[in-house]
Amino acid sequence: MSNILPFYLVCDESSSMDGPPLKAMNDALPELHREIGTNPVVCDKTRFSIVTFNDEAAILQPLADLSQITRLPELRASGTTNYAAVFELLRSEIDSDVAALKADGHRVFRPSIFFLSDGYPNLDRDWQKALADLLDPAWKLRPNIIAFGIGNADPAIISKVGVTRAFMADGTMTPAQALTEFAAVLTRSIINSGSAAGDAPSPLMPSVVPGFTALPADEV
Amino acid sequence: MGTKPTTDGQNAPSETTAPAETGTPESAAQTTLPPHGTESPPAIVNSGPDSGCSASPVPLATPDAAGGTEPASIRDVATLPTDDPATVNASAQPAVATAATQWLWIGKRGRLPPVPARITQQPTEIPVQVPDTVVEWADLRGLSIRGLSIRGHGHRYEGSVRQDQIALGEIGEKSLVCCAVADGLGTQPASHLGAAFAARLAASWPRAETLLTAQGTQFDCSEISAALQSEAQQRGLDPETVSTTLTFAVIARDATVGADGIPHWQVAVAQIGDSHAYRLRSGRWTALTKHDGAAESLSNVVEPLPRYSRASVWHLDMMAGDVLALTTDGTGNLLEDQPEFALELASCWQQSAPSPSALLRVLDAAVKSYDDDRTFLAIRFEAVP
Repeated sequence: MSNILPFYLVCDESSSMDGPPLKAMNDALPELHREIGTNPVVCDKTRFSIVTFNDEAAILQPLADLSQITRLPELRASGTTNYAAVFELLRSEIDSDVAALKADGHRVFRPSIFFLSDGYPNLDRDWQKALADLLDPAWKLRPNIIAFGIGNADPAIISKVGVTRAFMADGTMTPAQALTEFAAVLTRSIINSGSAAGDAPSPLMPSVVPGFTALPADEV
Repeated sequence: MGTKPTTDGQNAPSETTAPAETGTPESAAQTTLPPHGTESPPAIVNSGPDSGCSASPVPLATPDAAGGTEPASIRDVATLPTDDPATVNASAQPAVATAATQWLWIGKRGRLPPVPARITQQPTEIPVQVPDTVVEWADLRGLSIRGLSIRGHGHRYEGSVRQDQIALGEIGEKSLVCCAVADGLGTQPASHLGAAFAARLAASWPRAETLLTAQGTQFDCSEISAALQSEAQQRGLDPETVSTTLTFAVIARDATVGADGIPHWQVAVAQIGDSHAYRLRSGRWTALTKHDGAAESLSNVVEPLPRYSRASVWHLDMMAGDVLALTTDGTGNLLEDQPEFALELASCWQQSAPSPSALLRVLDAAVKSYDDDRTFLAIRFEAVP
């Protein structure tokens, strides 16, 4: 039995992310892979997955031990911004991922999602219902979500998604620069959480992210 | 919600009750190891002839001499194989040196063994240096004490210090032995100081004398909390930075022979945070303090000193042959999750207290993802001839 902290990078792949923003992410992911995959303390205790969304949602990288894969896949932009599809996919993926980890005899800690979007969600689907299902208090595996908004993302929506923490690009950096900072925070959070030896809330997040403003918690 | 603890139960399992602040006790859960020979070969440690401890099925005690039903507030976590019914009653036997307890003698054997025969008087000042591993041990009349606090493999990899600590002391004009373990919070930069100070303070805290006779399920440790805050402030530290768990046991040195003809000891355990106590009896580990069930709750939040100063209290009745172990979660989680580890650890204590080196070999086992500091401070209650 091992102690496992699952992390999900959930990334907007809509067409507005094309160009420098997605290039920044694709440049940053190999560094994340190298830093985590070569740290025995962290890679023994964490699993990492990439979930993307545009018109639909997809598992780009199934949940994996980063020391066991040779490279991470690249993100590619197209289409629109379907929040509902990705929230629905995440709920089913977390269910099956945690079940598989437990079947292997692991002790699994609450999953953490790092959610990144640069746009407004499609209105043809009820994304708020899908989000509520993902965060259902009655669902034992409900994840922590740290949401980051850049570009045309709506701060009110990012705040609603980021129930654990929410950040909005503050315009002091280009979207590409901000995403480089985002990737660094993601990497650091996984390393710190994995290194905390199980006696700290997960994920361990810095309160300040360069290029971003922390959003107040969503109030209802 | 627990009921009032008792100190006079003859059946040991009836002595523990879950304190009010820790909520509803979990239902008893038992992990019984497969009979020896049916499990896969040990992957963690070898049990060769020089290993000190052995997982081979050395016959253990007769069935639980205390009998009775385990209360819901304690639970069995692992059981050593007991496949020889024609075994001695370990509870009634004085300690017998085994491979696990022997140390190297060179030349003509003298009268002075390496194990201390009394508890050392320690200063309360906390040394700045934090060694990788510390050992505390003593063989008192009827009480064999062995304690190790080992830097976690994660901290070793990162080059950071151990944040766990152990301490031994005597109070009540030496009529009581006090043992303490503390686990400094990994997220706090000076928690190693907090753990060291809290453990040292608790082990020689005069007020702990009243723990054995305290009524109720909670014990006020605000003196320790205040001293910890004061210590932090003297060093220019925010008190939160020295946050630590604290679990300590007060043990009456003099046993009383019960109606069963077996010596019994009164013990009280106080707990702030998630450092748990276990009992080894007849090859079976039993959690004595409530476990937060991290695997189920997906949470790992603890309520540490100095912010929290109300300790949960358990009154226990220990018999000759029993082992009471105070652990930090780095050891407790292993004990609960890894049957092979529980088996190896139980093997060390089968007939007598192990040597520190034999204990270290087991406690320092490499187990994937279990990289926290490991602390284990245990007392074997011995029938004195």
